[in-house]
Amino acid sequence: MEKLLIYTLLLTLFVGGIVVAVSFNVFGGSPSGIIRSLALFYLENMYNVYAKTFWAASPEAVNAILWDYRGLDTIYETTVLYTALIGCLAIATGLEKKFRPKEPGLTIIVKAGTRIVVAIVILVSLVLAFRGYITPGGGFQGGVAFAIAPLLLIAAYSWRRLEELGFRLDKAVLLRSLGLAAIALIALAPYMLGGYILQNQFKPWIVFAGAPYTIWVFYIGGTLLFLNISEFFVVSMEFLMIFILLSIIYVGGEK
Amino acid sequence: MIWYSILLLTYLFTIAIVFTYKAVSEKDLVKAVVYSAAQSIAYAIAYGVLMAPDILFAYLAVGIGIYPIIILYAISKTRRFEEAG
Amino acid sequence: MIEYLILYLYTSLFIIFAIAVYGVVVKPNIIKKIIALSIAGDTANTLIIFLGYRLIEYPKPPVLPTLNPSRGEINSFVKEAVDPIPQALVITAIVINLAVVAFLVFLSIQLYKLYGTLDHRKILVRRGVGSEA
Repeated sequence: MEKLLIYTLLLTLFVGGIVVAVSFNVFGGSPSGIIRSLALFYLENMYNVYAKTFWAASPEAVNAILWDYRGLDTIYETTVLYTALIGCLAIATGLEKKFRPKEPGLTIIVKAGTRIVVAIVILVSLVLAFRGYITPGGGFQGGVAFAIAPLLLIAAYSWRRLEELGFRLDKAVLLRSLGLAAIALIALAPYMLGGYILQNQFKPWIVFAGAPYTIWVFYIGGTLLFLNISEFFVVSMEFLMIFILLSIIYVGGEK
Repeated sequence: MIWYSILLLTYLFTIAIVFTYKAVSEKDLVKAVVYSAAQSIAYAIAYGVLMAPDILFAYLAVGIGIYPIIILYAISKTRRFEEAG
Repeated sequence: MIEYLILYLYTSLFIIFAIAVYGVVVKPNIIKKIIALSIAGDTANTLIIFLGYRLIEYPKPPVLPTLNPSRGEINSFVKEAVDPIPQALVITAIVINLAVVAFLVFLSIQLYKLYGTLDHRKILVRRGVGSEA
């Protein structure tokens, strides 16, 4: 009986999919030459230096939407990631830990190669995070790219070496909380100065003067740069914490 | 031409179908993870073709970096092969 | 002619989604369910991005190339750029899928610690719920 239920579910899903696919295509086809008017608003206003009422000080649409127009959405998304990883931390503390002896790691060639690759990975993740509001990239992309670096170190050297380098669990958790506090501060600062939460640029009907979008000669895009930097710290330290946890927890032998 | 992007997408999505089927039907979990990472590569290239560079960078590190590694960690702590019966 | 190709793209995404849901529902191993779930999530993201695509000669990514664009550059950018809204939403979706998968991985390790197996049927038996089919 159960098999029948599963196969009917899959059959309906499959047929439903085909029906939706055909309907998407019949009504003018969704990917067409024109895009929705809402998108035109964002594309028009995000970096419109000639009409700055709704501009977001960032020539990059996705980052402008993520951190300025739909900033609260990103704040809640960060809290979802935060609570999920707090759950992982809670589970991991329940499992026994096994601190393996210092393994020799792989051969010299692999170690030398990994050192170079890790340096490049960290450089790329910094560029993604710090220029995320001008070129494609952003806090999350930079943080996730940075998270690959400790993995390579764990693979080539050993988890012990990572700890000597200073990637320790408590430091990761501390840096992560600092990053989250920074995001909260940047979000609340305009609110305290009379604007609304996560306000980036000046709005004619609000008293808050808007975050400066250029300092001296550098273009910083209002609050976007600082939000991206703190998001970079949050995400990279979160995954460092996850990988350290995963490499030290130990589940008993065969039951 | 408009054709290039659509043709490239058909190629990428057919690869994705093949790798998804292999990932789901594979008994050895490590191979299943490798197939799902290959399928993520096909999607990452599709994001590049669909003019979404932000998603491309996010999905490259997540789909090919984080997912396989944390699932491989989970496999290393539990069993490698799917138990029959 | 191109409509049939686009129709094929939609159906292939739905085929992948059907295979992934099959994997989640039918496969007994918990790790296999996690892999299938991550594939299903990524397929939905790809469908959303594909809906936001712009079918013109040379679509542009939604990024203005210069820091001081002229009025004409902004107008041509608006006419050629791809829809940025699905991309902003899909980044949120990727983050949440990642949070779910990471949590599921830790749960599966805990499950293995408690029941010694990751086979869904055997876990039911050891919980005294399932029948020794």
